[in-house]
Amino acid sequence: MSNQRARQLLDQINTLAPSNPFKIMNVCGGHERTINLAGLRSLLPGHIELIPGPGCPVCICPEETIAMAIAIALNEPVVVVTFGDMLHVPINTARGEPRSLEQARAAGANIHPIASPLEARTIALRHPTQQVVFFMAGFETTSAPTAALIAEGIPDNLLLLLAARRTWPAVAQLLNRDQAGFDALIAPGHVSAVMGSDEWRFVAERHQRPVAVAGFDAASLLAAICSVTQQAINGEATLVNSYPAVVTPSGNRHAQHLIDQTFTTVDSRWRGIGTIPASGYALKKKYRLHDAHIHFSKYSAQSHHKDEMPPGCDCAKVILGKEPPDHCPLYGTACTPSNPVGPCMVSDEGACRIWWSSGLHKQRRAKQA
Amino acid sequence: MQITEIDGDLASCHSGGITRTVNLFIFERGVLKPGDYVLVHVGYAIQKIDPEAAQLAWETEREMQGAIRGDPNA
Amino acid sequence: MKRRDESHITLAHGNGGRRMRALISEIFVRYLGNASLDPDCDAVTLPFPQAELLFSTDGFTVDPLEFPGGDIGSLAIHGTVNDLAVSGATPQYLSLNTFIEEGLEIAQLTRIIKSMGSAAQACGVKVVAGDTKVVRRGEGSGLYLATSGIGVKATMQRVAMSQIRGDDAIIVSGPIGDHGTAVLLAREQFGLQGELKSDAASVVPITNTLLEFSGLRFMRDPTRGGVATVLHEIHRSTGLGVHLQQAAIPVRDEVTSVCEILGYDPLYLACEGRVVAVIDQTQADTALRALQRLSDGREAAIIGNVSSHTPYVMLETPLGGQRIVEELEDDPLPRIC
Repeated sequence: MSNQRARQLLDQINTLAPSNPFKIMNVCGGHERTINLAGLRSLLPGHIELIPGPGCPVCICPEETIAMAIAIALNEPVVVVTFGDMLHVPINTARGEPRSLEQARAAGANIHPIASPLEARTIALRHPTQQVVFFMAGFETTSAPTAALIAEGIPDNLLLLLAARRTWPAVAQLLNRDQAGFDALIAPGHVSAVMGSDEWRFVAERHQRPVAVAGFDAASLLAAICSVTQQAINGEATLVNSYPAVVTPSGNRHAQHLIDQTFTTVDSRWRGIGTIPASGYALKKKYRLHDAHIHFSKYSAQSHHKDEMPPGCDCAKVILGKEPPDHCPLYGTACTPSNPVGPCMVSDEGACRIWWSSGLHKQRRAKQA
Repeated sequence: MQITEIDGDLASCHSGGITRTVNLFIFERGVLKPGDYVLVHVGYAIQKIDPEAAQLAWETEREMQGAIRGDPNA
Repeated sequence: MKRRDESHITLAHGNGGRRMRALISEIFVRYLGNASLDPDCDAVTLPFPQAELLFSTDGFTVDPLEFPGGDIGSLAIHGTVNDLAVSGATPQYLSLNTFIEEGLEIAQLTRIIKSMGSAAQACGVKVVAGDTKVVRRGEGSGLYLATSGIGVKATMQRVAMSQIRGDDAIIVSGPIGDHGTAVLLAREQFGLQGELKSDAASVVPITNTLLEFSGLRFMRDPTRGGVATVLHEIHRSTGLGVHLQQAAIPVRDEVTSVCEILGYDPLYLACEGRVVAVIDQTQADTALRALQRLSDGREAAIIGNVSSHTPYVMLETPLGGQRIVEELEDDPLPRIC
């Protein structure tokens, strides 16, 4: 039944003639997964381009935080727990040093993948004499459960190494600095479920770009694509909610209360983008005993990681949606899924990995205008 | 997932033959009741789902995963 | 009067002495015993007619040792029997290596070897040689097994990847990903529970049925890495592409739900009692109906075809879109975003 709705939306989209090309950015790894699983890019007309923006927490996690996690894991008698995606992300290191948490684990560090903050607490409770460091990289959807974990109570031996980010400030920076390589935005469904869709009103009202919140099935995504495309043709720019089952204008108030109770908003670094004002969460003073950034501050002096991407890698431009993955000089040659150079090729939600798995394996240099 | 029963801040939820213990701490007590559908992320219920739309999303996911056995007009 | 704790394995069970001999005769010989299995001799002589022999070997480290639908014991039989069967052989003799960790409950070992015995009997194979070692506590996760097997070529028909042609049909003998999901649920990993049985079983009935078709090109049992890995092996070896229809691939609800929750793809999850077969297009429907008459083949399906004009392993989604099925890189880990 919803497959028919998706096909109807596809037929409708194929009748629309927005500007060519018409670039729609999404800022959510989950959306990219749905687009890939349904093969949406192969179904949309050529002039509509779906661009993966800075929506994958693994790709935008600053290099120095990963370096810090590796250093702690290798040098301290701790267990580092983190979400599966974070294990493979590479950083620039001297030759022979572990380039990722996965390599640090192979070198003997005690690193354990988890699927929920609750598992971090369970492991800490099971090993009361050992310190457990939960390395958390994620957006609001994952920050709310992390805040809940802390608010509900965590043992003294559980510390958090936070790389928690807020999604809209990154999009605002792109728009404010006129770096926005997109004509319309698909706003993240789960982030909006927690924070409310109102957060995304500024894209339409201040920057005159159509925006629609989408869920994680093909029909909901296609409804959002159809809506923003139709708006652009009509010269309109409003916020549309294509995920009504879950998203409301104000979101989950209690979740927002827990976040405000546990975290402060701070300026934060995004890998490949730099510092974005008020774009991250840090633990409040009252939880400083649980803050690994403070407790293990001697390892944060890894400042030599000036947050560059690996040499020759264009992930920075790709993350901003300013360049498609296959314009990067390393794409398809030095950088492939089996031998990833930059974070966008490592993570399953990284833009380059997604391009690769849609069949585009050749490097397509930008047409010299 | 659909809540089957609640015990304090923990709920037992089910979806397609799978059951899971989900933490409800992101909701004030009493807001959620057995039979409600919730959106689960990293083991926490993060938002309530409107049942009709949930059923729609469920069928979409079913169809998209190709779980239909040879019944093209599902 | 039992002086020592006899309910758990001790290092003495591996030192060649009385306790080891008692272990072998009271458990291994009792459940696996046959005329050719003589624990007192170092090698066994086996009678063979003039025929091509096939030989295969496999190791088993599944955790937990027992799971809904099977255990490491039955798995150790089916694993090697299936490898021989998909290669067109009738499995006949197996050898067994057992590595037991100090502290394993003897009652559990007994259940596992008993299950292994009935699995062997059901497949019509005999365990004719074996060795048992005990390792110190902490040096093994309860029990590791390895089996090697000999089979006799059942047919003159060449069943090999080299036989695969451009538009051959691809059949899977049942729903995919059951074993991988069942073991994950048995471990209650990531807080998930569910009553899904592993598909672990002998595929001999399936391969025997398929071997009756002259157009049969190739068969393989999709274990680690799942169906996607078998298709990539075909792609790499033949240079031909694969075109799959997602809507035609049978996947049980529990497997779909677990994949939704953890962000996995059923195409990469292990099966332990399925066959992926490549067969001439003109005989595909008849072969499918023949499989569907078998108890283990009721949900067999034609899931796509080999293709000479697509350079990838390509999947057509229910919406008609296309995506490439990548070769498995890292073990699947739950994804949060």
